[in-house]
Amino acid sequence: MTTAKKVASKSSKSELGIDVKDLKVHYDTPDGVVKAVDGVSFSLRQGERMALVGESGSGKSTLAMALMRLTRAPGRIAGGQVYVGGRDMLDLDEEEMRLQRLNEVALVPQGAMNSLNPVMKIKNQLLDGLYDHQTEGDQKMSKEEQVEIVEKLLTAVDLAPSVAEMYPHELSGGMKQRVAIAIATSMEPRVIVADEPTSALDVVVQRNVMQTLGRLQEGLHASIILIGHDMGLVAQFSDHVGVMYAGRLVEVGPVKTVFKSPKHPYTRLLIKSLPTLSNKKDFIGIPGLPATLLNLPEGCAFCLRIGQTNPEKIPWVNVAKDHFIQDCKKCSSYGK
Amino acid sequence: MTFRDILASIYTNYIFRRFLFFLLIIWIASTAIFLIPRLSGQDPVKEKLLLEAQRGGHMQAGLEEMAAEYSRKFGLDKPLLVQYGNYMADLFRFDFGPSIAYFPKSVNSLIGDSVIWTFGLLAVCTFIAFFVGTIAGALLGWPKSPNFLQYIFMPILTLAAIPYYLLALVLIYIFAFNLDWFPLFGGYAVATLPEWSFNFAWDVVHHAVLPASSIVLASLGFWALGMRGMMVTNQGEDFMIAAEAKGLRSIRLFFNYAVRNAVLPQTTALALSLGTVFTGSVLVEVIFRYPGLGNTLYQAIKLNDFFVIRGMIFIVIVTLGLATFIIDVTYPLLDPRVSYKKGS
Repeated sequence: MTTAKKVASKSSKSELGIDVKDLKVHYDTPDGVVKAVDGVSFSLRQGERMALVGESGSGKSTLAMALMRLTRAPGRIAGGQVYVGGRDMLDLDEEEMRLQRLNEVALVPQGAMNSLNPVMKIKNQLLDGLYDHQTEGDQKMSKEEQVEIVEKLLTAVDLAPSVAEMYPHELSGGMKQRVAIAIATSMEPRVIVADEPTSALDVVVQRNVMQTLGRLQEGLHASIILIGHDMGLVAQFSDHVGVMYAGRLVEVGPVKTVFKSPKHPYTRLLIKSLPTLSNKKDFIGIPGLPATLLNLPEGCAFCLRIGQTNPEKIPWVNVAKDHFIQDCKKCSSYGK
Repeated sequence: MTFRDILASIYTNYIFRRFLFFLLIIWIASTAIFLIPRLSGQDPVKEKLLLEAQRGGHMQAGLEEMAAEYSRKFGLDKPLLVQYGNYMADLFRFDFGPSIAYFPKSVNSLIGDSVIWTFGLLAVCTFIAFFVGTIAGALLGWPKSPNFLQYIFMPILTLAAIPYYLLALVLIYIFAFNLDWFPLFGGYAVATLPEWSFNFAWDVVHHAVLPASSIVLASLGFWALGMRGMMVTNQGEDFMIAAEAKGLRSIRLFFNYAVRNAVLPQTTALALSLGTVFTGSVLVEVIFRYPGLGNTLYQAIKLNDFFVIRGMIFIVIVTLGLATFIIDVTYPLLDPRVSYKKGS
């Protein structure tokens, strides 16, 4: 698909970038079903940035993989819909889904250090995705075109064109992550899933890389889903934030309102546990351990953590403009 | 000097250093071969003469003189250092002296006659086993492979647990003894002389099938299991997940990403097993009475043919060193992380 055609199709279609409905990812284990993602729904308009935060094991990365439909056994996508560009990606066959990847949904992977093939030159890793999305009618890229494309992609992420001839081990962590961003944006996708894209980098490089990612995303008018546990980074980067606990979203809203006045007890504790310069006595953690996802009962998962139970179905409540929480009557005032 | 020249000089420098290392290994090993028999304190000439005399049934007079004469002839009466110098000079000229058992045939001609047989059989077998085993392992370790492959390859892999000489006996019993499809032994038919003709070539192939099968079947599993393990490990690597997220075709994922990385340790193992090609399958050659090095070595050990044994050991050292040298030089081409530059 040429750029012009794609831009046209993007603006003519609905403004919606990605629409996730009741997505479920289950792991079948000998002891029972682990519901790693348990009925997550959210939607994002084009050009919007949303962050998903939560503790380790809350299902963030599992969700990211499911959005790419890359869930691996023993995991499986147990239900739901993921609409991108008006098509339910969970409904496509394998080959159609393959063509969607990179073209419509692209991944900026976690662990920048190892996300590139160690024995392949950077230019080939930038190009092979493009080759494999060419349809039969498309002309083969000429040598000049290849050089031109690689140079354009590299300069867009502030890398020198000479990086094209290098191997991954010759690049620094930040450079590698820039290459990963260049790959992810090479086909101008509608949705970018960034799974902790800077977790392996130091803070200064982190900031630069995130700026590059943000600039490209704006240029493409793509939706971005940023998975991360770095609350500061999330607050700076995204417009919306979704807080995940035990495979479920518990609070969704604009970043500012959620950070200023978190309504769900888990969000409150998560924000409180951030160390600040003014308060450096102790790390304030969250009491208890994250809920075990094995045979997790219906109802409020956070109640279990603080020694309560509430087996009722928890309703979504609109607490402010665009700001929703899972409002459990038993624990909603916990930690206030 | 341009950038290219600098690179070229580093490149050659690396090879030069590897080559020095190769020579060093050979020097140390051949010195060991020289010293170890002399440490035993026995006089091989005297012992041989004594043995012959006892066989004759009577003690011969002048045995001491005879031994001394032979020692003089072989240069064994000279100081150790001079002997060592002569020995190294001989090695340098690839002169291993005469065979004791087949005197006056030289060790060189004895080894030369059999080396082609062993090399032909074992080098070919090693490559076949490597390629088939590696491909099988790659397919077994690939989650998108069709299931029936498991049922085909897994039984073959169990053969890896059987020693190749046992496998050889089983093959002889079934295919040569019972079915009579292949000859029982030898490198070619008994009544023929080696010549460059189609018939003779066919005869050689016909004779090689059983020994080759026993070696290939027994080592197939080694290659397949190694490759399969690396493929499975690679599946969990970040770059495989990232590559899948790029929407690459399966065939590219398989070859350019999974196999390309998994094959690296395999090639190291290939070089090492090529290094032991000459002695690797002594038992198979003995069982099939194949006219190769293994059989020659076996005969030499039986007949106490010291010079032949020494020549063989030297050849093994050289091939092993050479194989290591070749892998050292070619490995940077396979894996860019191993570089020709010094210190990295």
